Amino acid sequence: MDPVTSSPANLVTRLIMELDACTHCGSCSLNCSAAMVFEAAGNEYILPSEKMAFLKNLASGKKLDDRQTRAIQEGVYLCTNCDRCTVRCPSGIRLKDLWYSVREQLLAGGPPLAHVLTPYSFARGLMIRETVPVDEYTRPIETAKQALAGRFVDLMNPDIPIPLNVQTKEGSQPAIRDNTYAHCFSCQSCTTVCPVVGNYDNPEQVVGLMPHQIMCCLGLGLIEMAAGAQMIWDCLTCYKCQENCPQQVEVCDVLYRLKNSAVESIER
Amino acid sequence: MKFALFHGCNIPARVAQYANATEAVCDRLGIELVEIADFNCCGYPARNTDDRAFVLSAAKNLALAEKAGLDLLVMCKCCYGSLKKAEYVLHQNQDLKADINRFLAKESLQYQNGIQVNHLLSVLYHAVGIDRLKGAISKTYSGLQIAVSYGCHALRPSNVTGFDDPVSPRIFDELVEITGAFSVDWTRKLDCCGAPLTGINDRLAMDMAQKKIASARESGAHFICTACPYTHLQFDVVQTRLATNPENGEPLAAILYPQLLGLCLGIDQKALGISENLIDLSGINSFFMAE
Ligand code: SF4
Ligand code: SF4
Ligand code: SF4
Ligand code: SF4
Repeated sequence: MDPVTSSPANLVTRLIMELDACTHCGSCSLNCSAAMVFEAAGNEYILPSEKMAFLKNLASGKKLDDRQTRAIQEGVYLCTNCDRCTVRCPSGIRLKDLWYSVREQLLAGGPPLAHVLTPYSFARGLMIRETVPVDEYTRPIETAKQALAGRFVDLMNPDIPIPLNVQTKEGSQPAIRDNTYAHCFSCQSCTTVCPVVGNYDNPEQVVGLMPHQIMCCLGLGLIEMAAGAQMIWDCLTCYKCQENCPQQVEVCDVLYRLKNSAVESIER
Repeated sequence: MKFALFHGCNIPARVAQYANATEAVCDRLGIELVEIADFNCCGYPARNTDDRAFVLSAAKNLALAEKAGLDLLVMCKCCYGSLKKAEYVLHQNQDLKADINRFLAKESLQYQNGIQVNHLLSVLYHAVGIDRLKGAISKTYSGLQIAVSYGCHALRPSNVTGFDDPVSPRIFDELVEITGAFSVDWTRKLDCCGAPLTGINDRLAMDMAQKKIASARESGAHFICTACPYTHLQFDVVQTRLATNPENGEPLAAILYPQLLGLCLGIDQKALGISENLIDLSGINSFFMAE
């Protein structure tokens, strides 16, 4: 049955039947591609067998608290859609279809999820984008962006001058462990070669701060301003900036670090 | 010649023909590929949010290959870049390495930088070599123009990936040219295909793909040649979506490198999954000279 074209009622029936068929044998988790992310993040709902056990409880009417909602939402999202669990399940449960549909349901009702702004979304963009209403598809992306980007100053608004006295939170300095940005002499080569900047007539308005401006902010200690720029989430990680920097500033890696710390800060 | 084949997550689920074609080509060339069932995600998708989860994921794969005493043959450019990056980071940061090894010890694994990470193209170019490949070819294309897409994560940052010259790479072009095809010069050859933002900022991801396709078409290419599942899906699935808008022009089919080479090695179309690409590839056969 196609999870996409079949009617919602059929889908629910099938979900319940599949949940019933699960014996919690654990085979699916043995070779889960995300097993090491489970080790690092400590969220057991990353493992497919634990997601199944949880969904079973949920289907039997169990209520969720906020912490659980967040954990299951994250667990279902931190899946690479590799299909290995489906191949391994001795009960023949099509877990991959379950993940796609459960993921959409959890995203629709849940709090903003930072992981939506990572390549974990690739399969969603490829397989789901055209199968759900546009606003259902984009809402999780927009709410994650709102939660993560542009939190400190309205960088997108050209009429608001960027204040240079933005306070950096105490202890935020070590979040950027890599300080190659200190060698930046503002030649703008990184920005010149950046395909994202090049895609727009008005890049400042779209991306907030351009790569060289982000490096400059960091040099001035304005870490939170840098971390609030839309640019860090629109970065393709193509490494052109880094390859072309005459000062060996690790521009793309610095953007990766900023993303990591932005996520840490909303999780705290 | 023997390698551990690293499939990654995208290929088994969405580009199975890439693995099938790679296996068929390697078999023909006498390269033995070993499957390691415990390999997991290369860590690439975790890089945005959790550096440690990324390195841990990558390191487990490296440690597994090390335990088997095999160098890696990686088909995906993002997996390749991610495994190379983890190797680099673990070399630079001994504290992190100790931390990661404590985790790996739970599974009786250890990472000691004992193996080499290779992309499929590097294995064909460096380990097999152009001369041996030429010797194995049974028929060549004539008049075929190919636009090779190098792939950001293999090429850059070059001090980490060590794949080829980041400014004027040659490996992929030479590998294409041994098939008799001409590797065209195109302005967006070294640019991003947009895949890293598919699902995050689809408009931007499609703009990147569309610009590359337009540039390849302008250069006279008949096909875009890919050697990465992400790039391939951009030019196959996402391009199909783009092609629904007539302004974007006729689609320009993508062919995976082992498919392109495999046909010249006389491997069966079916084994190469020629009909499994979404955008029809069959036109490629008209470039073989009538015998
Ligand atoms: S599809 Fe997701 S849950 Fe299943 S094995 Fe792959 S990563 Fe794990
Ligand atoms: S392998 Fe199948 S039956 Fe076993 S725990 Fe996973 S989903 Fe349930
Ligand atoms: S290319 Fe390097 S030195 Fe020049 S502005 Fe960018 S980061 Fe600074
Ligand atoms: S890595 Fe990001 S910032 Fe650097 S050039 Fe590419 S898209 Fe621009």
